[in-house]
Amino acid sequence: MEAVLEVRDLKVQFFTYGGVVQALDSVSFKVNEGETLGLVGETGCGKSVTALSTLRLVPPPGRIVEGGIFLKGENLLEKTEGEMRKIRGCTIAMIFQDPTSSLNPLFTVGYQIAEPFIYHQDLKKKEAQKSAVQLLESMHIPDAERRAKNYPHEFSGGMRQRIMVAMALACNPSLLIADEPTTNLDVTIQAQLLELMKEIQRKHHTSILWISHNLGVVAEMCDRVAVMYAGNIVEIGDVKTILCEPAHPYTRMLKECVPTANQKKGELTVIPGNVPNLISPPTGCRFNPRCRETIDLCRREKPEMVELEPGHFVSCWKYPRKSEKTGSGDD
Amino acid sequence: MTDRMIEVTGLKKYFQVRQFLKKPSYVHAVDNVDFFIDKGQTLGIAGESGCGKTTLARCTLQLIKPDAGSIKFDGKPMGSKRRDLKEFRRRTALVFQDPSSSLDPRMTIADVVGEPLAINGIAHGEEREARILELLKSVGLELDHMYRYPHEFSGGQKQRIAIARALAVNPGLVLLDEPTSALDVSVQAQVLNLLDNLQKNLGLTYMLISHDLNTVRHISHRIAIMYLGKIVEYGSDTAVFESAMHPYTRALLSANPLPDPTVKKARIILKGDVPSPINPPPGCRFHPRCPSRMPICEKEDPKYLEVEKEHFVACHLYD
Amino acid sequence: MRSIQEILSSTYRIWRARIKPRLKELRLSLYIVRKSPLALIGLGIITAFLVIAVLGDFLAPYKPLAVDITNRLQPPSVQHFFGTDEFGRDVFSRLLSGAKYSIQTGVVVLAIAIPLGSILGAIAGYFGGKYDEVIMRITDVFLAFPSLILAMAVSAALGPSLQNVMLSLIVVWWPAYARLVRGQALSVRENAYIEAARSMGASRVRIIFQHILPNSISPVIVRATLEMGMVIIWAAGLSFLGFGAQPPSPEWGRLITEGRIYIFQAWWITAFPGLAILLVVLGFNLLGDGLRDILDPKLRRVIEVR
Repeated sequence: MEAVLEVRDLKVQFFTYGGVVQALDSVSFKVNEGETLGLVGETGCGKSVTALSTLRLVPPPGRIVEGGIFLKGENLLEKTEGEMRKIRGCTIAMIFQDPTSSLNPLFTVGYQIAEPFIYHQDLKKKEAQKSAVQLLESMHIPDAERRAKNYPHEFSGGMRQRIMVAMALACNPSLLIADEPTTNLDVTIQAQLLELMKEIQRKHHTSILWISHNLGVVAEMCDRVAVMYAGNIVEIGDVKTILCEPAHPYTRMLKECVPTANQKKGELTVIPGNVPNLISPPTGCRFNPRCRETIDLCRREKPEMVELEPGHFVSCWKYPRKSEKTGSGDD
Repeated sequence: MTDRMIEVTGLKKYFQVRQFLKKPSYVHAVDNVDFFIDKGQTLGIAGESGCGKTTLARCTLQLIKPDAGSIKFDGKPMGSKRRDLKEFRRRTALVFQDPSSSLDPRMTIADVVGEPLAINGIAHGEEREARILELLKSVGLELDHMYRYPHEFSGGQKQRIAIARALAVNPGLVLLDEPTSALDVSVQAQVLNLLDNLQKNLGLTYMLISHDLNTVRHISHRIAIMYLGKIVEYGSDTAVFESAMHPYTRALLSANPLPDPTVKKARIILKGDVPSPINPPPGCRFHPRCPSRMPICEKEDPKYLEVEKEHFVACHLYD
Repeated sequence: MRSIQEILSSTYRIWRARIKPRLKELRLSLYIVRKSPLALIGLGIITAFLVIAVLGDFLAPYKPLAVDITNRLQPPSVQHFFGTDEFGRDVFSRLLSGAKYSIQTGVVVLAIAIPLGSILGAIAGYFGGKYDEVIMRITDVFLAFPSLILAMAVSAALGPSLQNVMLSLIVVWWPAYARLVRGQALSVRENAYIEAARSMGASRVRIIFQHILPNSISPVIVRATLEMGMVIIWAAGLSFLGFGAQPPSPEWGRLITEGRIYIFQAWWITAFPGLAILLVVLGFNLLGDGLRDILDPKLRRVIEVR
């Protein structure tokens, strides 16, 4: 299967007054065609930075220091800014957590959805507006033609999110990056949006990189999941394995510390300590100070990514390297 | 002596909305709500945005003046006398959603946690410092932290400081307004465990407001589901979560994603948006989105009835 | 009774708990200041000015009021650094001696106008409603007058003296701070910690003084530093016009007005006091800019090290 996006050994650092923040430490993963890869982790693990790096939108003082980002085989890090602008919003599109600040309050919704059509596909204004209305209809927004003339503040949060999805899909992107798009939505509205996203994926065969800290949403939406901690991917595999039989201690503890509505748990597992300071991260495996299964080796050396089963990769000394070949997402 | 920490009947709160050149209309934020909480128990109030749970919480704590209804606190009806209010304030506490803005950034932690003591004139000088240290230790913090400022702490630590402050004068009732929504997943677990332990050790009564059904299920003994200002279902946590009766509760539970991809659910996807409380639909407020709508639902507001033992529903299906 | 050892150790612990965390903040502040050489220049000027103001009379080589007709209108020389005026008085000494009036005026005016304005602004912002309306309309009335004219009118009504100039400047200055603090209060009161204080039973007075005012004070400090220069210039201006200090006071505004007539024959009588005012105001402006940068929380966090 051809990979739409391949990230190889990506290293991103932020050069701040307090020191150099090692935000991403050799991150590698693939998003295959037509599938949804979930990127799961807590605040500060680097998931948003990963998404922004893909679009080369890492804000200063951050910089991509090493690595490669390949979109259908082409290295995005070698492109000029002009070429990147053509890609953003067209081949790779992104939707964000807060629709309110992602939509310009001064322009009508129809105008904003038409923008990518005019900019990327060189459509005339009238045609672009028609396409915009069509897109709104496919987002199940009732009375689309009239509503295209409304302003963002006249819509509810869930609708604004759908408008943002519409804008992202205008040029039928190969890759859609969704950065916590449902975190601010009510549960029933979230369910609507998830249904919509699944429908889109079925129709257009779009690949999605879905970023979330909510394991439930990930279980709903994703085919494969990558778990991140402190700038590293610690485990990657298909959704059933990761959520039902996780191998990495962090993934296990993450699962155990989340309460669920279908069954009352006793005392929740607590991951002791705090997320590490990425200016001086722990030596060896970055999770070792908080891991309940840590051994001496964990403090000295960073574990490599090992393929436990086909498609299931872990980076943990509990699973030492068996063969010469290591990789991540290699089929 | 009563078993009930707080008992609220007929609570109503309307806000006036003045739109340009139109007659003022009213937002029925809380519309005739009854509930009670037993001592040492937790009532979880769940619902989506606009359902009125935040307003209900603030009316219960008398931070907003309700338009109608009566509140009985520890058996005593709440009057409007200043002395009563001061006593009420001493025996109730509030933990907010956003730990960053609930602590005054210009005050040291010692001052923050000690403020209730200062306001009530309890413990001075060394005695107060000792009490503050005791409170900090009970939530897992140290002497080193006492004279630092809130911005030097993480979200989870700040929330624990807020909890320490809430406990300062030994409250009976603690209102928890989305206490873990702004926190990371692993930190949520710490705070939830802490709240659980404190409740067991100190016999606290909690009123929890949350939109996250998982959190609500975890620490509540009783649950109330709110929709557009009314409680549509109320019962024990097993009753509401496992034998939900109201169609909205059912939809809410089915929409709540679970971290297990093998569970196949029959999804009930509600159409339309969470409605605005400014013009609630006539009859049953849920009827425009209800999959089990009947003709009577558009005309008559269903009564709030006890359908099973201690399990209340407001729905025409159970009239 | 606690033993000496206990007292010492608890003192040490608290000292360590309070001071150590402040050191990091201090280092960051100094770093920002170092990066801004202009602020340092401003600080230098102000410090020099303060030293002169305090020690002026001691540093002056001649008595500021010492008349010496034989030496009138002498240009700057080794004996008289800034020359002499029409009465033979040493301009340099008069300058040094007059510095204190400017600083006094600046400090007194701001020390009264700022608290007055701030408290009223906090009340207006926090309570809203009628309080807000009344207080804001009063400030509107004051702000409707062109400020200099208002100051002159008040001075004229009260009679010419430095004290009355201070009073008139207070009258002119407080409304701007009321506005400023009101704006801050409006946003501060939306914070959860205010609601927390109410839920604990805090009195309104407590909320205003413990919570609203301390959190509204940042822009006030910046503005006060920047405006100190303005107050000094205005006081000098009013004195220049005859409203303030009266002869033979060596207040800088007076020095300028007394030298006005001789500006073509003896430029030094007016020029040096004028330069002095310019430098001092510049110093405060530079310092104020630097202070604003230090206090800006966003700037503090995102500073790139190349």
